[in-house]
Formats: sequence, C-alpha cells, structure tokens
Amino acid sequence: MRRSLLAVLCMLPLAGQAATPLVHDEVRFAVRMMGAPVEGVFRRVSAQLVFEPAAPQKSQANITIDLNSAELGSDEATAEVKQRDWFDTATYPSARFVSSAVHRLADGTYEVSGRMTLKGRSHDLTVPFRVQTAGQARIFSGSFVLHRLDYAVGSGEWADTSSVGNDVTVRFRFSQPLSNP
Amino acid sequence: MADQQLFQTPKYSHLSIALHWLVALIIVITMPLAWVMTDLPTSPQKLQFYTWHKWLGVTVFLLTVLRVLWRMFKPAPPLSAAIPVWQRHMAAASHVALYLLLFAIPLSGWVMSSAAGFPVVYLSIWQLPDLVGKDKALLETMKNVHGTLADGLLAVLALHTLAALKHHYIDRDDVLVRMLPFLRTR
Repeated sequence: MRRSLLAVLCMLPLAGQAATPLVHDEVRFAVRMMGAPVEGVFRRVSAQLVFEPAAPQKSQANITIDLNSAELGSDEATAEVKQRDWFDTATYPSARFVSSAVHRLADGTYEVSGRMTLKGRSHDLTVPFRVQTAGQARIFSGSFVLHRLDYAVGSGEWADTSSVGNDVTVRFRFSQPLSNP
Repeated sequence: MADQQLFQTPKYSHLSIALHWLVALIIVITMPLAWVMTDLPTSPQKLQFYTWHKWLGVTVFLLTVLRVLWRMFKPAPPLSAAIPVWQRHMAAASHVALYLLLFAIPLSGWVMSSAAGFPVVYLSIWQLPDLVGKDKALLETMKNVHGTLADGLLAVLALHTLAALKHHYIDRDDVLVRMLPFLRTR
C-alpha cells in the first residue's frame, strides 16, 4: 500500500498525465580544445516525458544524466572529466534538467524551458527540439549550447577558455514508444 | 693580383639556406618539447605543449615539401672535386635519409592523432582530415614508430652536424661555408 502511494507521489510532479519513460538514444557533447574538437557521450541517461501534441504547453520533461557514465575519446580524458575540476562526480554524480514550460514555435519545432542543475549549480535553460514520428515511436531530438563555466565545469587551471572552450554543444535524441499510434 | 673570382665556392641559394636553418630551428624546439610534454600531468599546459608540438610538426612537413620542390627546380651546388667519393656517397645518403625522416615523422604523428581521435587543427584554424579512424592498437603502434623515427632523426642529425664541423675545422674546406656563407672562406 505504502509503496504504491510512494509511486503515485513520485508521479505528482508530472501530474495530469502518466509520464512515459523515454528510451535514451544518445546524449553527446562536444567542445573545442585549442581549436581541436573533442567529443564525449553519456551512456546512462534516464528521462521521463509527458508530451501532448495537441496541447504542447501541458508537456513536461524530467531528464537525469549519470555523469559517471561519461566517455571521451581517450581513457585519460574519460578519467579526467570525472575529477574535481570537472564534473566532480564523487560529489555530484548526476545532472538534472526539469522543465517548466514547453512552447510550439511557428516553424513546427518546439522549445522547452526549465532548470538545469549541474555540479551543484542551477541555471535556466531553454532547449529547442523537434518531434518526428518513426514507425511506432516518437523521436525527440535537438541540440543546444551550454557554457561550462556557468556550472564551474573545468575550474581552477582549466577555467582559461583558450585551452578548453566555454561553449559546449550538446546533442540529444530520445524515443518514446507510442502505445496508440 | 690573382683573380680570386675564379675560385668562388659554389653556394646554396638564399632560399635554400633560409629554409634549411628555419627547419633546423624548428627541430631544435620540437624535439625537447616532446621530451617535456610526455612527462607532464594532465593540465592545460600539457594540452598546449602537445598542440604546439603538432603545429611545429605540420610546419616542418610543409617546409620540407617546399624544400624538395625548390631543390628539384634549383639543384644543390656540386661538391668540390677534392672531397673523396665515399664522403660524397655518405653526404647524399644522409641527406636523403633526412628528407625521408622529415616527411615520415610528421606523417606518423598525423596518423597517431587520427588514431587517438584527437584531430590536428593547425594554428587552431585548419583541421587536418583524419588519416585513419579511432584505433587504440594502432595508436600504440604509431607511438613506437613516431618515437623510433625521431631517434633515427637524432642520430642522422648528429652525423650531419659532426660531418659539417669536421669539414670546417679538420678538413678546412668550404662545405659548411656553402650553408653558412658569412663564415670566412678557408
């Protein structure tokens, strides 16, 4: 009895509709190091979504990224990114995005506004995305630029943006299985 | 007074001389940079040194292309008849070895960067295409190749330098003057 009550309470932030878990296809990021592109990927991401095509303003998203699942081009870089100057995964094992509003834009794409929490710091973030249907699934994809220094990612000697750029481009893709196409 | 003009030392062109010493200077910087950078802990400085090392390597490659083209257009001046045949052969062989190494070493470095998945962006502007895909095993192999070829370059350079000094101070001939014309003729 208590367990199902707890389950219901967890759903309350996404009340109104049952939130469906999204299949995380990919969340990739890239940054320039002295001009050279460096790419990384997060292997473990969990996402909950309520999406109303007819009434997008009722949509909600809740994304959690396991920062320990980050993988970069080399073992050295993968180990380094979890250290204190970077993600500091020992203290902050995950990053979170919680939406507050979703808008449909004139060109048929969407925009979700919300709060990004990373390394103990929170900032407003607006992310453009588009929705496509492929077979029995709905695909949500898009990309945005995050400023790593806003979240003190790459602090101390790494705060100098001539070594590692401040702009981090994040690309994502999530699928939502459609129960009633 | 005897006509000294009859005994002019044939010299390298100004361009050949300039390119020769420019490449020499770059090598003198690039090699110690490699010895230092590989021992550094992960830091912005390590990233900087690696990046500069790669830029210097690309520059040597480009300058060597230029030098070879120039040499085809304007061949090296002939050595004095007084120099024994075996020394001419040694000179030719070591110069060929140097040109080959100055192509092979930057190339192996380029393959290494490609295999590491960390592309070279020359002067932060020009991204060199990846020669191979990301490959950890190949990366390890190329590290050895790049390092061994660099050791080879060091050995040939030592020979090259000592030979030049031998010609100048022991044989007292004009071999070094050809490349360093400000030296007094013997």
